[in-house]
Amino acid sequence: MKKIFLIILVLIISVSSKAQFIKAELKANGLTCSMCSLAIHKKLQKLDFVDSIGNNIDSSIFILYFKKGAEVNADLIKQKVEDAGFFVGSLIGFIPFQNIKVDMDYHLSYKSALYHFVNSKPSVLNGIYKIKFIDKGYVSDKDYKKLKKLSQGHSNHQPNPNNTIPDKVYHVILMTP
Amino acid sequence: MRILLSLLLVLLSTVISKGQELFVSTEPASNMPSHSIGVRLNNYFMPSYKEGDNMFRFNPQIMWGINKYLMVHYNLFASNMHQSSFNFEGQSIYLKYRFLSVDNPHRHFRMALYGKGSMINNPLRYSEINLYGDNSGYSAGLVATQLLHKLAISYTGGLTKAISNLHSEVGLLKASSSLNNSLSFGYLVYPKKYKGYNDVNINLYAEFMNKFNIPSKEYFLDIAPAIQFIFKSKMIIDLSYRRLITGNMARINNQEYILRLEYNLFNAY
Repeated sequence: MKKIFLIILVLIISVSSKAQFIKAELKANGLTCSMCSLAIHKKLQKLDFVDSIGNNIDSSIFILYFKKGAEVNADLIKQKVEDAGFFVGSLIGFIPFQNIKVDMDYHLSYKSALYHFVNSKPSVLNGIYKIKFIDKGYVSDKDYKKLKKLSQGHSNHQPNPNNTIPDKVYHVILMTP
Repeated sequence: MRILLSLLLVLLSTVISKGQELFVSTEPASNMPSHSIGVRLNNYFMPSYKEGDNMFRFNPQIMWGINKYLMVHYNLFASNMHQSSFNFEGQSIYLKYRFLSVDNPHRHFRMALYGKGSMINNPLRYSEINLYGDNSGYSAGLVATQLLHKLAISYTGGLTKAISNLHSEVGLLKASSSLNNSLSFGYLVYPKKYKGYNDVNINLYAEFMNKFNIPSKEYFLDIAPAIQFIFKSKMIIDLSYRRLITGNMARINNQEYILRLEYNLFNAY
């Protein structure tokens, strides 16, 4: 029993320490022109965990490359887009996994936040996976109405490895790599 | 006039793809980014009825995005419109609060409330009540803006109340209240596809401004077509020509040319 517990503990710790957003694809809503796009770009540049930003102005897409080891905070990304006067249309994070076993409603602990995979099925993850944020403000209001059911009714979020209550719980959809 | 009409037709017939709402004669419901500061130099050239008596008004403006909901403009005015020499006329402050945003990819519908107050030292001689350098007063109203890809449509409606200018009694006016309505169209014509932030943007505008004085029933309807060039996604040059379509209001002038220069500083502090 002790052995199993130890294995689980090692597994959890390895997930939480190795899990790292390498980049994110942000689509902003409500804009068309390059001046509005630049307003968002300049706000995102202010985030200390952002290393560099790639753009597609026509589709209002920003690719955020993160600094190695820095704590990525999705709420701050959302706040910056809104401070520029716009809204997040979608936010997709890219995370590399190495032989990580996931179950239904898998909880990934990353730094001070918990990521609840609302659609995960028992499987082993290997490679770079995309996770799409589905909480309010991370998708358009129209999409949120459709996705709301997925993020509700799962109140028993497990604590992170340090046994502390996570600062934030994000509901995400695991996308095929 | 024919050119104006065809410009308008072009604007109206392209309701399908992406838009612009950096209007020249009105303000959209959208706000500036928070913590950004902009500077505008508004220049109004008015050909006079009398030869050699052309008028010019200079209106520098500072714009400040306080937070995502609230922004403010501070204006100074100077002209030779009411005196033979070029004089400082006064100042105004404008506040706008965005209270509704429904945003989708390349679209939004936004609504805002605005309030404006001005303190001017000009003689009151004409019926038009405006807070752009001619009258002391205050106004409040509502702005609704719809962005549909390259097309933006905006409505502004409000009430303006004149008070006495610094050295001219409001009683000189036939009417001290004015209802104002405007409808603006903006269209992004260039570039068709963006390469980067340094691409020059060209926008075309057609704006219709109406005022109706209470209780004198004097009114006017103006049209102001404009072309806008945006450089490096932060510097703007606007060229506009505003003129009367119809009306019976006694105004200092029924037409003006507008040259506006703007520079925006994102994350100013």
